[in-house]
Amino acid sequence: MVAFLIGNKGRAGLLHAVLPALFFVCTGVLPAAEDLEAKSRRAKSLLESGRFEEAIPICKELVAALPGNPGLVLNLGLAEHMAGHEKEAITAFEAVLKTQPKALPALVSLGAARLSLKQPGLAVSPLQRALAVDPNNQDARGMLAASLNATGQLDASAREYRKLTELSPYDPRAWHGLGITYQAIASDAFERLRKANPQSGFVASLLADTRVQKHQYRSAFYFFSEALKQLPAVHGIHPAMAEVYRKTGHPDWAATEDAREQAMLPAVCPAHPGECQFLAGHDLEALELPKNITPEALYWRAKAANELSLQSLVRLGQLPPSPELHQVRAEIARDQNQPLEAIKEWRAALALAPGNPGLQRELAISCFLANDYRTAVTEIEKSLLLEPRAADLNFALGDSWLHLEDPEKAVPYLRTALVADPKMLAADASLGLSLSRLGKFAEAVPHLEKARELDEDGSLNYQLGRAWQAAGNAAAAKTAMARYEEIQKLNQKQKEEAALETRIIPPQ
Amino acid sequence: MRIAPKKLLSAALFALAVAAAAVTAPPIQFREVAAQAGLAFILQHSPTPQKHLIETMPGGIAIFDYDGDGRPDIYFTNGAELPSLEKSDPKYRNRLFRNESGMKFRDVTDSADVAGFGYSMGAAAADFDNDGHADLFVAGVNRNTLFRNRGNGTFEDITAKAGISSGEWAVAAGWFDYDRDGYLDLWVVHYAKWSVAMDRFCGDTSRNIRTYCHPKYFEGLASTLYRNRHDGTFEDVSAKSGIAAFAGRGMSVAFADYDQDGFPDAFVTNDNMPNFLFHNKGDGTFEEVGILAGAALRDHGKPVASMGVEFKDYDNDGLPDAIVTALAGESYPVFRNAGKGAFLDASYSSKLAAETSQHSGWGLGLFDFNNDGWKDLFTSNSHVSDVAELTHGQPYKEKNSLFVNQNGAFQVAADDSGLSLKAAHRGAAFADFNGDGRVDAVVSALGSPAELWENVSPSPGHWLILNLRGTKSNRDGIGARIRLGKQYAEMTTACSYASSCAAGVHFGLGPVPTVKTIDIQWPSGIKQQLTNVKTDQVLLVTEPR
Repeated sequence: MVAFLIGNKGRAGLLHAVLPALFFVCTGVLPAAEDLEAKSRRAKSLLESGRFEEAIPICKELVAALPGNPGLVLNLGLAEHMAGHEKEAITAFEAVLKTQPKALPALVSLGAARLSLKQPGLAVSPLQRALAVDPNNQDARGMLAASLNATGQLDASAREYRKLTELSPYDPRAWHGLGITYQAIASDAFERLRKANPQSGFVASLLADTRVQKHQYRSAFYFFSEALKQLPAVHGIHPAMAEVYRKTGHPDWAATEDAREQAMLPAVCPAHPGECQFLAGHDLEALELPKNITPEALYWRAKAANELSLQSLVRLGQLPPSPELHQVRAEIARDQNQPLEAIKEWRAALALAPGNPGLQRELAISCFLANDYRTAVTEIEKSLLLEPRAADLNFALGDSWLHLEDPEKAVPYLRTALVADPKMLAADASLGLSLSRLGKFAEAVPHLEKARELDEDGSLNYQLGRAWQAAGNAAAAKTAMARYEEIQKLNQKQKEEAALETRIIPPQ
Repeated sequence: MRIAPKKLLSAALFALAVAAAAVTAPPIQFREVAAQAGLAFILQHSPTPQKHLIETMPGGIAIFDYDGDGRPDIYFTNGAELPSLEKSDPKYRNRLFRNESGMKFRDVTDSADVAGFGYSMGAAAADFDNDGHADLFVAGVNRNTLFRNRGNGTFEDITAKAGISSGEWAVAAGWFDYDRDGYLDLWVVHYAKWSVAMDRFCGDTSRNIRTYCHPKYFEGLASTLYRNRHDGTFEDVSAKSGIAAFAGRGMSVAFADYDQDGFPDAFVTNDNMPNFLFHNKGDGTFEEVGILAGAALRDHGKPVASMGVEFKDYDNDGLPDAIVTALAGESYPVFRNAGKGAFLDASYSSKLAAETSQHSGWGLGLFDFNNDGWKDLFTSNSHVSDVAELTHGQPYKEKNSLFVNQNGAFQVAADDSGLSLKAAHRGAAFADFNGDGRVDAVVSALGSPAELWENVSPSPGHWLILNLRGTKSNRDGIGARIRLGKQYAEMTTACSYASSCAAGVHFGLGPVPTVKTIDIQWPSGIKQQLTNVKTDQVLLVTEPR
């Protein structure tokens, strides 16, 4: 899900924007009774100072004392929302909206609460209603765009983000959201293409593009070659191939590819509208799909969406440093197999948004993926304080301890991960090895058996063989070791074939 | 009888104190004395912008008594100019340093005529012609050299005459008598196909960081086995013996009779491939049983960057185990010999894995540095990549490490045992250079001065060094199996990473002033028992005829 980053600080801003009005409403309708007025002031003060849990009982007392007062119910809802009690908050906001359907704070807060509960589908309606009341409400539009993105309504999401960038051109969140949404559109188009025909030249060309982004030029060469075999007349592939040649030190071969592109006839626009629009730089038009969706249309949609994403992220890069900018850089670094750079960027993002749980989580996982297990342990433990049952975090922490050669510490986390997600085979694999190291071979076997379907390099079968051997089942051990050998041989064969395929040769 | 609670507590505390004293190994301390000892050598690896992989791997060291004066001398292999692979400048010469006693050394390279040729990597010393003088084999990139010791302080290059071939990238070698005919045979370990023309870019173009290419880009090679024909020549029996069928990216070799069948077996470390354990079938052939025996891979089933190896008994159960160095994040594997031809991954249970998970190691020595009866582990450390900090967040230059063996479990020594120098350490070799019964260490480092670590451990226990003299067996007694109480050792000169340690068999004996019995089984099959042997001496033991 693309988050429109409204952290606690953002929420507090939202709260401060509505508080004066709310409490004016509250105090205005209160009877003269001094204690209620005092309580009202106390509640306001607590909310303003961020002591939401303490404010809740007072707000409840006020609601009970003056039933049917929507302002007080709204106060209670806000207190619950800010304290993280989203379900209770939603009840309060919906109560307010029954009597005041256009109450903007209630609509916006209801959307925010739904998003917090990871219910973006249910957030859409109140946020749309909020925008009907106040089209310039940027928080509502940002959250609506994020909700639409999360529910797969990517074009609608992009439209909202585009409006947001118009309303607030210096808001990094808007550009980030727009860029990420275009990426999602591109991915969606690619997946549809791949499902329809995985061997298509269009798929190969798009795959090659991703390889270029990752600096994997041999692989890019292979896919561009495949694409050109099928699509010799599609514009743009020859220059892309030329770039691969240049990057790999073959400028003469690059010149040949460039010359081939120049020798091509212009695209016939009525037959190939997507291609024409894209080549003319009309990316938004190229994004539009015709009624009769063809592989070619999906291809140009993916290309256009990638281009638009790039433009959005370039705009983001022109703004002052923001968490979103560092997030993008971190993701690029991760994709380019630069894990240390990714960690640096997540740290920079976190420095600009201290305590942001999403960024903290990304940092923790990033350290784990970078094999920096010592740091990973520290960072994951921080995230686990907020999400003690999260399967992925528990797995990452357990697996980090295993890599740090402390299987005793690993086991409880891996067990927790499997309770949270019994289908997490990676946790089974890690737990199996941990138990083996602790000499609990019989206990390890079922986990290794379960994880075997993940075995790409034979190592899990090897572990299983050793565990069976130690547990006294020589026959089962032999079978597992035979499977290990089989996988090894198969991998060797595939490696040799791949080596032949990925040799960079002159233009054919 | 009731014991008063206070007395009971005192008794318990006393028992605890005794127990603690019993398991705490004596401290181990080193000091670096290379400069004052006159051991002036800088390993020239010739780093290039092209990042040729060979640059990362030189540094093998041979310790042997070349002049027969009873004192171990030191031979350093050295690199060469790139791309010519020639020793075009004196700085590239391999170097021989004579032990002048009192921890002083003198460079005798020229007079001994052992400066060598080409880009050298490893060395193996032993008396292959049974003439009483230790000879020297030098492994190198596309060029190997066999130096015969003339016995007058000089050496003769007999490579061609002996039938030793060159042309491939050899990293290490070792001498052993695989057919037990009384003459030493030679095992040469090859890494991979390589030439200076190979210039693949590996690294990060966007940050302009070029790195050494991963081993997976290099096609591995099989080892070569040369059988000694007893006339100064050798026969290549790689194919006949069965080892030619196993291509690896070999880094080091060590020998031991792991299944106690009387024939020496070979353990070959491979870089990012399963290690090889060649079982000597006793009929002139070998079978590769690494995976089956559990010595090829750690328990996770993934290959690691195996570097050096020690094939010795670390847990005093009478069976040789294998300890291997590897890169940071991999831990140094310990393959414990469980008997009946099976090994168990004891990296975790020996506690070495946890101690080494953040280290990268090359050379290693499993010796009893504190003479307490348990072999400790010295490792020479450094990452393979000089940009590891940028690409992996791991240090390139590291200190060496000393892991104290406490009843079969390793623990890093307090204060790093004085091993304070950070460098790109590579080879390491071990001997008692000053005759004080404490095993010292010599370490090479890329582009840096060699280090000589004098063992100055306080209050060491008693010790004994056995120098074997074969008569029916090979003259060095290589392959002889020695049992001394619970301790077990085999005579070998193959040690560490691409190195050779020919300085007798050292035993630490703790408080024992006299050893009641020592049982030796010679490669010839002859059994010999020594009784009531006084400790704290270097004892020459001649094989009974």
